[in-house]
Amino acid sequence: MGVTLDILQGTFGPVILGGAMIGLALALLRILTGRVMSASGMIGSLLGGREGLAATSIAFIGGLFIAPSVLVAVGVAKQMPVEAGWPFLVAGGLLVGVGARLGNSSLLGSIHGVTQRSRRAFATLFAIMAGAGVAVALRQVLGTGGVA
Amino acid sequence: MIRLAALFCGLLCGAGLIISGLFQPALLQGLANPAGAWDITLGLGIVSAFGVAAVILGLTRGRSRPLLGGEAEPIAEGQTGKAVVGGVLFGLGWGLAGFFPLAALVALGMFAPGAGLFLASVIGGMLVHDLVANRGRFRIEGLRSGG
Repeated sequence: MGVTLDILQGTFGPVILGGAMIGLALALLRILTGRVMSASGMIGSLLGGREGLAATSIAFIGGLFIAPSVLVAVGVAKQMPVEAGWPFLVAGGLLVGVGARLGNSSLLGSIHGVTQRSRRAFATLFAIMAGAGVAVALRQVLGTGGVA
Repeated sequence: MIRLAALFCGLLCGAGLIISGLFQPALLQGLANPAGAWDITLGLGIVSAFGVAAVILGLTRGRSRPLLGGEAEPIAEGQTGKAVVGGVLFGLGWGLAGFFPLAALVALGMFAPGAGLFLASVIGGMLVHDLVANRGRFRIEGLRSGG
């Protein structure tokens, strides 16, 4: 079983750069506003109407939403996501929603927690990766559902 | 000011997701390529994000209050069992749909229709959980964070 290294294909830099920007955003958001960078957490706090958290949640989500337009405006080529078929999107969305609410679990939230050496976050991150691995294997069996 | 900071962080995170390609649903499929080759792009991006965040947060350790005021969201503790079950469900959903909520919000900014469907389903899942857990009453249990 081989390993595809993007460094060999010359696309290694953007992944490292983009990842670093995500990490920087996570740290800055925490230091400046005290918020944990987790979209499911922010959507959840909006649904529950927690006072004081709504304004920063809306502002952060707004930033995510306008990011593609801003990048296109500064000359970064537009790229669209290659999406799965609707049954996968609906089933996956429902599972993510229930999971996020059940255990306060989220991908970036658990990465944040791991930087703080939280054992709970370690366990959550491992669980998320395990679940994703199972689902990806399942999709190999069920068919790709739209993703080439 | 605090809203402007949150907006900037959202913009920075969104740009990072696009530049790295980490918002792409197909990326996760690279982990289980039928040809047997593993694409480690996803792992590389996550390690990069984790490394930068860990270094900066490590350097500012001891500062408990946010610079722009207010209280810091506490990192969740305890209830590891629930967190693991929630994590597995979250991961299953991510693997099936290809999106996680942050990535879907960025994709929604590209007016990708599937991202909207995914996010609506996420909200639906949250409401279903709360209805079942609280017997029809909507309530936030504790603060989110720390996984």
